[in-house]
Amino acid sequence: MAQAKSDAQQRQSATLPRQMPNPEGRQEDCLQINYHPQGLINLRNSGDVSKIMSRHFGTALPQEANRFSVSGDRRALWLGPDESLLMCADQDAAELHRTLGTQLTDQHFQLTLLSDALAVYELNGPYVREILAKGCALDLHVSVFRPGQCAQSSLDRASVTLMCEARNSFRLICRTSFADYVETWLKDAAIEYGYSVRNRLK
Amino acid sequence: MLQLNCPFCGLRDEAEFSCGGEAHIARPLAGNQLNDKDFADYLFLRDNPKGVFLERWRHAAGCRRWFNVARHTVSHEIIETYAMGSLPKSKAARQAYQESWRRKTAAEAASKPAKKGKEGR
Amino acid sequence: MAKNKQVMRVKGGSAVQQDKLVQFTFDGKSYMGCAGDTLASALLANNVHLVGRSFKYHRPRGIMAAGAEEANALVQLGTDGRVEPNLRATQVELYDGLVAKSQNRFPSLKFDVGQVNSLLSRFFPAGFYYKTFMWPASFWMTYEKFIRNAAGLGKVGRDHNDPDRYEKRHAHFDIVIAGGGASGLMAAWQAGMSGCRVLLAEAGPRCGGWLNSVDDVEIDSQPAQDWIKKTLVRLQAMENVSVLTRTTLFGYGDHNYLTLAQTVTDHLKDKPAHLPRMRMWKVRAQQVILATGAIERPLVFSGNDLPGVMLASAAQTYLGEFGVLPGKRGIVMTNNDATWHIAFALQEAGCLVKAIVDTRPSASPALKRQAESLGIEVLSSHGITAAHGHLKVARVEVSPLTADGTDITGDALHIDCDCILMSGGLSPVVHLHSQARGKLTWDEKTLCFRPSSAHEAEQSAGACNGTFDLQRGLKEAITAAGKAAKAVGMAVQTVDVPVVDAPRINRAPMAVWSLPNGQGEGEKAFVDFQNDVTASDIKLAVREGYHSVEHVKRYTTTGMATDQGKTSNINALAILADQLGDAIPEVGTTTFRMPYTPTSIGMIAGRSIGSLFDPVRTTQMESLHRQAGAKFEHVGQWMRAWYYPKEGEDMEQAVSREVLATRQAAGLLDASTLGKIDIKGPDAAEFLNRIYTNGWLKLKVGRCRYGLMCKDDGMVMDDGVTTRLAEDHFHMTTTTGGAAGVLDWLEEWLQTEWPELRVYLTSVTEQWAVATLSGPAAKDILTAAGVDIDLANDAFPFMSMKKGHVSGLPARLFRISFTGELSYEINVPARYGAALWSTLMKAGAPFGLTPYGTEAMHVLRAEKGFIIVGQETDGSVTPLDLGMDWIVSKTKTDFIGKRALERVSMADPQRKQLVGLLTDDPNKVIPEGAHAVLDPDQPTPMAMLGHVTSSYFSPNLGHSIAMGLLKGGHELMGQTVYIPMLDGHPPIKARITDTSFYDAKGDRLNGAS
Repeated sequence: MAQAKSDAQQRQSATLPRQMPNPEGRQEDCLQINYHPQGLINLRNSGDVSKIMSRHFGTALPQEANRFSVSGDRRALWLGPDESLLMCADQDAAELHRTLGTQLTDQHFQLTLLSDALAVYELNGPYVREILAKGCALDLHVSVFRPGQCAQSSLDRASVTLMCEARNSFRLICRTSFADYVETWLKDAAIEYGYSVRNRLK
Repeated sequence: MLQLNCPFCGLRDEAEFSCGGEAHIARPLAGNQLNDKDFADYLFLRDNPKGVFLERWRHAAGCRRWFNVARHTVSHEIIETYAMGSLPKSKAARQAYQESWRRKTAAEAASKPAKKGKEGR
Repeated sequence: MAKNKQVMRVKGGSAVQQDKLVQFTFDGKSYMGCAGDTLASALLANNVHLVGRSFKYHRPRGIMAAGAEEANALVQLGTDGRVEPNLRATQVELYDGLVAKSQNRFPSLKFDVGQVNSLLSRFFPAGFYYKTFMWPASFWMTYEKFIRNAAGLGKVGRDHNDPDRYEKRHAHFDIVIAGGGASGLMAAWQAGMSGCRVLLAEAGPRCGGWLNSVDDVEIDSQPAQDWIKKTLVRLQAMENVSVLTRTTLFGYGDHNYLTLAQTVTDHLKDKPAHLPRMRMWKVRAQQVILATGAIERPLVFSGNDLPGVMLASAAQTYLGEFGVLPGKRGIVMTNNDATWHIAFALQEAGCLVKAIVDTRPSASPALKRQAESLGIEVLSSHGITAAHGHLKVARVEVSPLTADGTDITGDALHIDCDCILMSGGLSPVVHLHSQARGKLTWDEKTLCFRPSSAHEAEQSAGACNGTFDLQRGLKEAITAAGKAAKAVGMAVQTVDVPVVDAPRINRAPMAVWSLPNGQGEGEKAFVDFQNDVTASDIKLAVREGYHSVEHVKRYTTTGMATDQGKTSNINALAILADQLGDAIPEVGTTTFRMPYTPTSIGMIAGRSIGSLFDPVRTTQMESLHRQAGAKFEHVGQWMRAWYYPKEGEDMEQAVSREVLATRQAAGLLDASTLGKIDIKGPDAAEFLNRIYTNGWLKLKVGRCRYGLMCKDDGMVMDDGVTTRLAEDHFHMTTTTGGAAGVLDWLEEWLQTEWPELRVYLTSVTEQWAVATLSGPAAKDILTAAGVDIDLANDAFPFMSMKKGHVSGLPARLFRISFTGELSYEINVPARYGAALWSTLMKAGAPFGLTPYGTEAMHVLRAEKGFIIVGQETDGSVTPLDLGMDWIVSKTKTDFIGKRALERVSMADPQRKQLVGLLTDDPNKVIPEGAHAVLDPDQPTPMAMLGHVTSSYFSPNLGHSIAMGLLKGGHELMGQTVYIPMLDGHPPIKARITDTSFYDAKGDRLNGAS
């Protein structure tokens, strides 16, 4: 196994500054990158849990594939035919994990706390779709990838889940160990439009 | 690059998937009597036809689910995708399934008795 | 500033602004051109024709085309780091300050030493490399140097990193249209009007194609160029249509996956730093319309490669688009009507056309009348049988020909000239259609291959479909776009076919490809200009028995240069067909490959360079390791602390200190990278029972077990400790590198083989940060740090797990050991990882707690004889080979690998088996990977026993230790083996032992010291 080559490689996000102005002075065109701590719970189950979810989480699981349901700051994402990701305020996660665990006992399920395993970024800006399209092969056109849709895919070499919150607003979820890479990648891809990183994971 | 239809997520680039090779290889149960040569049919021998091929794919970068694909290895036409544990519906793919030399092997006979989910692997 | 000496510039030129002068440098000399020029048009304006030397014979070469098909005028652009070789001067847009150089010449373009190759040309026939370098075999090394030196054209910028940015982006469109000529624009308009998402990609800087160079065409009662501008404005106003110029569709892949190269800043003098130089578009299109036009074919005659010999259509472009004349005294050589119109335009613009030489016995009376009125001599049934000149064409021999054009019937006329404008008819650009595996058909009337059936969802329209008539081409484009729009489910709004008013031109040429050679076979008549393949090379190949087009292509290298035979393919086929006595369609075509035009490697790499080459995954404690001065190593994508050198220590000293401290006091390892999988469900225990080779049903809640998993072939795949958290709930650990693979493996079995098992899996690798506290002082340190768990051996025995708190942090403690010492793997939610590490380091300081890295971990486990999957195993090693029979259940009815392990060959005593190796000299450390033999004096190649998998100096034993996989190793216990060394070093002598080198009884696990 080779020794790590250079500091540049080790501390990737150090190579690009935290802010890069829009080259033509249009600050409103910049990409806003904001790490947003979130409570995250992975749910595996196959039965009908809509009542339990509505009552104890605030929203039922989405009915369609690659969609998410919303209630206030809570999101329930479809990840697979028997897999969902629940998103809530960081401080609510442990309690929710316990509550849902006791409510679901009569069926085969798995509830896993992942608040520390996954990083959630909020991405805002008029060119957010163009920037993501530099590394993501999904059709991100406004007429296709619409608010309420989510998808697991790749952003260049990282696995990510994208959520469309609004026309110019996305959330991106990746594993925390890939956060450095993803952050650097986003900054690099946004150079054309400018960017600013408001909050970082590490 | 191929475009595959994940039964759950829809059309995605081939790069999001990983190919698991030939489909419908029934696993012999260890308890069954099977000589080494017949066991090798299961363990080592894989088909590589020119024409319709039934293979397993996984939506690796997406929902991580396995499914079956009937693909023409020359034209790269995706004839159909169908769920794990089920058999293909199209005529060409059914024919490929039925005519496979594997159907007659002792290894297949030594797999579990036919029931739901058996075609799987 | 150079003086403006554009002697060949005349008025007009739809693309250039003649009042805006632009300075550029070619081969160190400064010139002026006009804004809108290409490098080629600017050079021609300055009457510079000699621009390069040919690949093999170093013959002087000029500009022969005006577009992507240029085979000769390859130049090198730029200075310092920003250099780009082998660019077609015809596609390089001029900007102020551009610096270009010719290629493949030494010391200068006009006097080139390599030209000697031309004199020796009879030694460079077809198949030259194959014939010459076959013997003697040992001379290959000598030949290779010669070939490497002679091969290639331009030079890459080797001494600098490429300073430019290259980007990629994905996109999806309903309809992609390649080519922005009249047909492409028409198709885009129709598709856009139908509401489709449309991309129109034009390779050049301007849409309009050949219409930009003529002024006698009207569309809808307005000059064609106005119609183009209007159509473009209308397209650009449509939100659903994207028009990209300077964008070449270069690759056509399966299921309409298209790759396009867009040059973003090449044409700009000041290149904005925030923009990439090039952008690669990766596009998935539902429907594709190819409107890529046609390319004119050269004619094959002796000396047809001299500077000044040009395609007639190129001359038309230089005149019409750039206001540049190809020469002052031209000869037009043709086999079709269209070229006559070009001759007339040139004559009117000031290039004296000395003769229209036509292979056909007669042309239409109207053409003849127009030639006569312009005072142009017409030589029907004639052909150029030789062109002469030094560095540029100066004189031609024109001979009367037989009616079929194959033989000379009389004496040659000698005519002085400074340029030859040739035309052998048009070839549709079917490259992309062919890349898309579409079929071609030979059109007997227009004498060209045109698309027949498509394989992908793709259509051709206009000239690339063999439809050379503009009116019909526009109609075809509308039909194709309508069909495509319908196919993507849009309601088609059919647009009106514009009315074209243009001279009627009969495009059918006479079937003449190659003119009889007035100079005999020795003189060169070129077919493939870029690879220097002549007509006689092809004839020779046929004589030598190469009859298949694929063989002739490879033997002569025709069509294999970077231009992919754009101008040469049909002529080569025709000559081959003639030699074989076959018809052209019987000979067939070779495959067209991507890229359509050469493209930059930098673009293909994109941003996947430097820190974005591959993700580097880091743990929560990484910054603390860095502060402690750790060196790191890559383990898969992870960055792990390797060792922590103190001031003045080298690696060996640091590792030795860490290893000793861990056994004498305590060590702390960041084990966060271990794969972790949460496994839950009523059938979880049964599932593990099938996955692992040992039994899992009886494992008690709160207890841990080591497991080995095999593939179904019985070979070891991964290992790790799994803990029962609850009756239906387990926590599995995997190797760092194997984490993703193991999760995929488990999911595969659950989803495809055992769907009846009710088990769910979720990766929790990043959820937990893990610090492994190991050594006799571990318990005291943990107590000092503050822990609410009873650590007594009977309350918290080896191979068990407790939940509690360490220094107030919520934690899971696993009493498992990879060092053989008393050991706790402390898992905390990852956010507390750094806090945990700091707390333990502080609490452990009085006890001598030492952080240790992966290297010390390797030594510590090797002292215990513990394997590392991927080091002791390589996919061909069974648990039995490892001497781990104890972990393979004899009672379970099934587990993955069970049946395979019962195969007869698995019991072969001569399989490679894992053994320990102790060197005679305790200080000699065997290199890992070295091979062992029984007798070091046997002749080479020696009978190898196997290889060393792990080897270290053990500071605790004061002795070198190693493990290796040796044939029949278990039977050789106690015997001596030798490890031969390189470079005359004596072989290392070692004794085969058990793999457990230290504390074989395991007393230290409970903290005994």
